[in-house]
Amino acid sequence: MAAPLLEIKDLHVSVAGTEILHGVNLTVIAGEVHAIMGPNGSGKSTLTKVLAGHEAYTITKGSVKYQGKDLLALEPEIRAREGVFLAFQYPIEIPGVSNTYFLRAALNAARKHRGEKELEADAFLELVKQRAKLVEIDAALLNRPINEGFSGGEKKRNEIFQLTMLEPTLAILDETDSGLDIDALRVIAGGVNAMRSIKRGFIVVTHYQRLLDYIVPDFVHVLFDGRIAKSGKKDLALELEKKGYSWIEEEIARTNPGSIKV
Amino acid sequence: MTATATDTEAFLEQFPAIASGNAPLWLNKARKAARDSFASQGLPTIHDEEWRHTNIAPLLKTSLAPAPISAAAAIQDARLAPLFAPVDGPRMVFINGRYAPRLSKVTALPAGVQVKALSEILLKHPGKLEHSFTDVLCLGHPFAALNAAQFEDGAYIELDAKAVFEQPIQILHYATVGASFPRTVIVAGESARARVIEIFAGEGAYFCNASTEIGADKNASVELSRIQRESETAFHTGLLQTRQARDSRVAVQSLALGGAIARVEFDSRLNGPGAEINLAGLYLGHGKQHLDQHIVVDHAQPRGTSRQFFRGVMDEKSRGVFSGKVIVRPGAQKTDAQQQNNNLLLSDDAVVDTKPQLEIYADDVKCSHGATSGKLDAEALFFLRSRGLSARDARALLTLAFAGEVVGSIKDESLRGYLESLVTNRLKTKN
Repeated sequence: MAAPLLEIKDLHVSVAGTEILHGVNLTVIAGEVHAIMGPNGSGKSTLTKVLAGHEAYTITKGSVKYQGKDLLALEPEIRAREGVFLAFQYPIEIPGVSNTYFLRAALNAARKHRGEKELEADAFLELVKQRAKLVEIDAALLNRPINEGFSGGEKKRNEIFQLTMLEPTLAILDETDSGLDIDALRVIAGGVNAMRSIKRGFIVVTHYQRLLDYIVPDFVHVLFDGRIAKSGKKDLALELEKKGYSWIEEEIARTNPGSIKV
Repeated sequence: MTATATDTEAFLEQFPAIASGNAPLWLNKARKAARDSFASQGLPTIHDEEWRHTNIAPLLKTSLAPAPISAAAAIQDARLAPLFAPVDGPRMVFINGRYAPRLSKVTALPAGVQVKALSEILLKHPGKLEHSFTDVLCLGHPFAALNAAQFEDGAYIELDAKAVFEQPIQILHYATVGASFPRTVIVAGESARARVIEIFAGEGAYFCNASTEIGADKNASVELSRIQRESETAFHTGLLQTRQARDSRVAVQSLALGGAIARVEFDSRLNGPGAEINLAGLYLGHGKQHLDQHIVVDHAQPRGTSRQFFRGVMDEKSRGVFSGKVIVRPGAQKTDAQQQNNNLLLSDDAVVDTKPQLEIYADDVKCSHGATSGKLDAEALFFLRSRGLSARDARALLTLAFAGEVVGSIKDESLRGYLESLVTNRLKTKN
């Protein structure tokens, strides 16, 4: 078996003194797509932010290895240059900073990190054109300040567009499907699927099974109260859709009474 | 420290009173009146409401005897050239408040456009300037009174009715030592159009006390870029007065980069109906700089439009001050006045005092004001870093975006590029 791309062991995370994750274990091999599902407040977004390096979270226990390195010791920008990408649930607007200008700086920072030459303006624009087509994003939007005046759907498209530009090794999608209509969902899933490769791992966080009809996962995990409560193949998502998350809660109560804090 | 009458007297004694046998009688009288006005108003202190946030005590510890004439001889063209905006057009240079023809280039002016030294106008057409001194008591502006008393020379720009000059006229005030009192008068006749770039720069410790007047006649249009990039050991006080007739338009971009203590005052009067003024300002402080912007826009007539858009970026231990006031006089109906001040504090030790004010005496007006101050958005920083930008680059990018909005809307590409490069270079050195 190949060496894991990402190895999360017994991860405990607190924010403002309250523990949110109570010991998460997860292993992702390059080429795999892992879906993480779970009810609101189960810690899904916390997990994604911790992996990207957000300062608000304190790791109290456990470890995260990425390509054999201690991921938690790296600054967010180093993680990004090493190939970790988080598509945000709520992409923010940044007035005055042009999308393409920033993206070129980001791309070249990663290239420099890998010891490659910076991408020339022409080659960069060619890449922009090509990848914009992939997620059907209007090229005119890309010259505007980041997400300024974008609709909710356009912001999500822009996140996946950035993913296709930066070609990460580990892509983490945080509820990319929220707020999207079915057509936009299909386009975005198409962009993600085009990026699937044996060299790349995905963690797809979603509340609903719907997204997984389009981005078909290899594994499905249920995050419940800060722990992975159940793991399975893609059928698990269908079962969750049918039975709801209360089914998981009942199952935990049955097999491990007293473990659920109310 | 509080300035007393003795301080004011001692301060004033450094500058010998100017009275010349060649000068028109009214000028000598006006100088004397202005000097008396300064003496009676006294050096401002933080106990004066309008100077509450700006303490000029350090100015009293600096020797300000007038620069010797010889100080100008050492200044060469090569040192000054990079200070100008890279655009074609006439250039006037003043060293320590005195005109330096050998460093200036005033040629090929279109008909109806005059660009001259004030001293020449005073000699040949003194009547043209008398109006500039009728308001000479300069109540509320003690340093403007001091300028009127002590100025040695200045720039005079006049456009006849309907004269249009698209090339910006650049005026560089360069100081090296002592106190200098640059004075600029810009007169735009009916439907005339003028563009001026006024640059304040220098080296060492000195005091530049400047006065600029813009008179815009009916339907005239004047654009002024005021670039204050003094030495960071210098003191700068400046007053920009604008007087506008019916349907005239004035646009000012003010950039405050230099000075240990620097204050610029805007006294803008919309004296004719339908006049429009657009004031955009950016102040970028670092070290222990103190940068003060003090604005009064006075709507005296109906249908006037005014915009104040000021942004400050304060780093290290610098302090920024914004005090902006809009006055709408009785009868100035349909006035449309907006005032906005946003400040970015890059360090915990940086301070900004902001005071937007409205005084409205008419009932059918549209006025708004707002002020903010805060740090860089932590979520925006995280987003940029999570895409691979270093913390330093992310901060620089966000800071530049914040500052850039003030100059980003300038239509003239080369002027915009010049101002943007001043801002970029300044922020680059610190981030």
